[in-house]
Amino acid sequence: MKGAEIVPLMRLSGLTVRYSAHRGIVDAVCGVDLDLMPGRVLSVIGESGSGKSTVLLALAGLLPSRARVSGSLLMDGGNGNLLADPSAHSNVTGRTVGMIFQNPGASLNPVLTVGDLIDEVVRVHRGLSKKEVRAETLSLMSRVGIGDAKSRAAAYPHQLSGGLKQRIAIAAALAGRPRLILADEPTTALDATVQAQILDLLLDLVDREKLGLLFVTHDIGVAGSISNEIAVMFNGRVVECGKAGDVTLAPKHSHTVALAAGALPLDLTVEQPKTSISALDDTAKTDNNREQYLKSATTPEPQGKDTQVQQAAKKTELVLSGITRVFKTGARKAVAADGVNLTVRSGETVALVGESGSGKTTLARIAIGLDRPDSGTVILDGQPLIDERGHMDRVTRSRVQMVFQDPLASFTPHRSIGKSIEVPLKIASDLTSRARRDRVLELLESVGLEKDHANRYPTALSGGQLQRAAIARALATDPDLLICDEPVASLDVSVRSQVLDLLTKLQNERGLGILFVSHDLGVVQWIADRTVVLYLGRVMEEGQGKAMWQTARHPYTRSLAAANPSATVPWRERPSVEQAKGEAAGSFAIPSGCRFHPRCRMAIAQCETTEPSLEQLEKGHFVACLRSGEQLDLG
Amino acid sequence: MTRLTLITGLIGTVILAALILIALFAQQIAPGDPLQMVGRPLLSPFADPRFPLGTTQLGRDVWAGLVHGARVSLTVSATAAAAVILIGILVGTLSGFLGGYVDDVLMRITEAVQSIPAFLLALALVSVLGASVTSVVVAIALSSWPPSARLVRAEVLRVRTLDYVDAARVAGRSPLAIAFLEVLPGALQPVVALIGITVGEAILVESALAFLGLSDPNLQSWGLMVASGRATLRVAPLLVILPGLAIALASLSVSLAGDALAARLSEGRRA
Repeated sequence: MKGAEIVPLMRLSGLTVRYSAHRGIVDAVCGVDLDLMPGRVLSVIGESGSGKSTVLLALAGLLPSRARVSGSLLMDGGNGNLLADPSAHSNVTGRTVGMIFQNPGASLNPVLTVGDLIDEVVRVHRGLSKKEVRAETLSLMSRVGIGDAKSRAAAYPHQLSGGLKQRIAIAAALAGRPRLILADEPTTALDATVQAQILDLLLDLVDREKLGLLFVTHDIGVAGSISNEIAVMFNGRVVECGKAGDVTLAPKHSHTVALAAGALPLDLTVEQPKTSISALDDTAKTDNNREQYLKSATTPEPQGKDTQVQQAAKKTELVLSGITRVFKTGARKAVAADGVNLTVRSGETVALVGESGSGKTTLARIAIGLDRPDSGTVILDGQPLIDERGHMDRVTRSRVQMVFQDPLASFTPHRSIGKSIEVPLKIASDLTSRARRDRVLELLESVGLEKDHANRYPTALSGGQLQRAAIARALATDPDLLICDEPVASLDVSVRSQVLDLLTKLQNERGLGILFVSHDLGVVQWIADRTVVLYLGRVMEEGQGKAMWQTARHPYTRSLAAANPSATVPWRERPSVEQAKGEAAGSFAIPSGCRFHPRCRMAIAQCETTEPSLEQLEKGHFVACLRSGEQLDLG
Repeated sequence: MTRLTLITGLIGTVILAALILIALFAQQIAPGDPLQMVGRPLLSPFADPRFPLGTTQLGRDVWAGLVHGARVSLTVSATAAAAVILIGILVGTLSGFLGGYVDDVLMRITEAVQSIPAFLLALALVSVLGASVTSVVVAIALSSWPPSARLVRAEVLRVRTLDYVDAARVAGRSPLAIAFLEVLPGALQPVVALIGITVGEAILVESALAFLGLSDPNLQSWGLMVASGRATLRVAPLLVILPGLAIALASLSVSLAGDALAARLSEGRRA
């Protein structure tokens, strides 16, 4: 390796961080060694609680004073152990280390304009005159890809989009001319297309200015695609460390295997058989070959109880047509849905995909009657879901159920899990309390939980267990349709796959129809039979199966796919023509014509004036793009 | 919870428990009517073993007065505080959960009540309703509910946006059931903290009303004792100081215990 002769920017060895807690001493981090060379990217990956953020805080000298730190940290060719000398540490980090945080909204001072904000950092680090400071600020802003830096400098953070805010944070981090950038999940809070732009920027800085980038993330896809080296953390230790390609393609430690398997990369190339994705959970690996099930869906094989077979045979259909929903705040109007048609049938999984503000959650809430559209109808098997007076009868209610994004927030905190699962039963059925309790235990068993969990309170269960319990609750009334709003987004990767497996297994057993809202294309590709892509409240494309992403025609769909980092494809080798420009205008200001045209790389003059309608290209494949006919040769 | 809150909480709880016991067994501790003239007037404390704290200018036993006064003070303030919290919960929950016009109307009424100083309002109410224990309770309840209503409303506004409320709607719960079975229990924790303050305030208001002669003249209460001791303040200052101390001790113990309870609850929530 050519880096061997070069002095490392940072050499961390034997880092151990301890906290004394109520029950004795806790080792948050234990014996971690990391080296970072200039011009290279080192990713530290791990699940929540693995200690990855603690390592980053230790490097930056930001650990709370009650933490007991040992180990040695050399930076920038110096000889002094910075961990042993806090004042030298803060001196060095201020000069040579820039930090970027996860939430740019929270890390920027809201009362300063972004120009003043960067000015301040420049002033602290460099002895420049007032005029020179502002010139330096503007040049920093253009270095991080902010066009029109002069007028942007006068803006306050809240006036900027998430991606711009992160760019400002990066500019501020660069102000002290650091050699090393520490980034803590800097793209996690951003939309996929914006994440892609920020990753481009960071890699560009690394390449051009030979900076070292330490990138902390939970996302093995991002890490694998941008890094030179990856360190995998688990329980406060580095369990695997090596070249990015080796770690992602041939993981050695079982935890890395689990992370890689659970990551569900978006696959744009090879067809692979759909099998269980869970690498950790053996019980979930039974009978979940959904494609086979779907083929036989019309004549289901008898399995389990008779009622279940009947249910699988009975075709339920939820039809949303012409759904428009506008939220008004004062004089401003936010368009969450604009004439959307959507159908979910039993036995199939329909995925709603889109970035934040695309209206996917609003549609899901409308589909279950939690929200009502301004115009358009929601019909369940020929009957309106909600009557004119705004009521939903008991039977209809029990047929459509929901699984929420945050499992902890979806359980009443002062009620035991068992009692919470009992609530819908109490309302929808006439069972005796004894029969209800039996049913609760039965439901818990069907989602892989123990009887004992019924008596516990929500805070006593892990995220994965809670989401299982939430699924049990949703199934309590034996529904035909399940609305899942980002059901795995708040779970760790290894747990995520278990929950997805469970959903598919239950779908096979019961013939459930699932409306699956997600921003994670890998998950969607794995689970969806049909995928609907939303942008600013309107359907851009609808396609079938996992091939949908290979045959996607709409430039927006293609930009989403291109923005999805894959652990095995180096970021620099992605086709950049597919990328969307800028960021979504926001649902308050919907662009004229095709609402994607300001960001579209293929837009023509007509796109600004004519709104394309959703047209069928081939069976089951619909696209709303004026140029959909001519795109076949592109990409 | 810090060590200090723990200690002060314990002290508060012990004093409060002692006061409650004294109030419950007042008849056993100091038998007879405390308003009865039982000895020579203005006996100083410890002068006569029958009257450990001496007698008033009307020859009433001071110790018996304090013991029976605890009963009146605690009953009146506990009932009034309960009423305050109940009104607060009802108004706050309906206002926060239903929103819209209901919220507007209820909040304007709350503000109207709040704009009149609570003690003046209680004073006015008692002078209209007549001097009795019931009217004192009603007066305190009707004049001090706005803060608790606003607190409950704020909490309800926070809780009702949580996912579990949507989950209850999906399960088919009626709006009223959601408001009182799902949202309200989640919003109650800060209200518990408010109970201590409310009871403490009620003790003060009750004493003040009694001091002004607007409580039941046929019941010995601390406020009344302070009022009647005022005439002989120079000769026998203890006649004012002792019931005054009782008032201070009671309201202090309630706040200390309430604070500790609130701290305990918020810890339970985080765990």
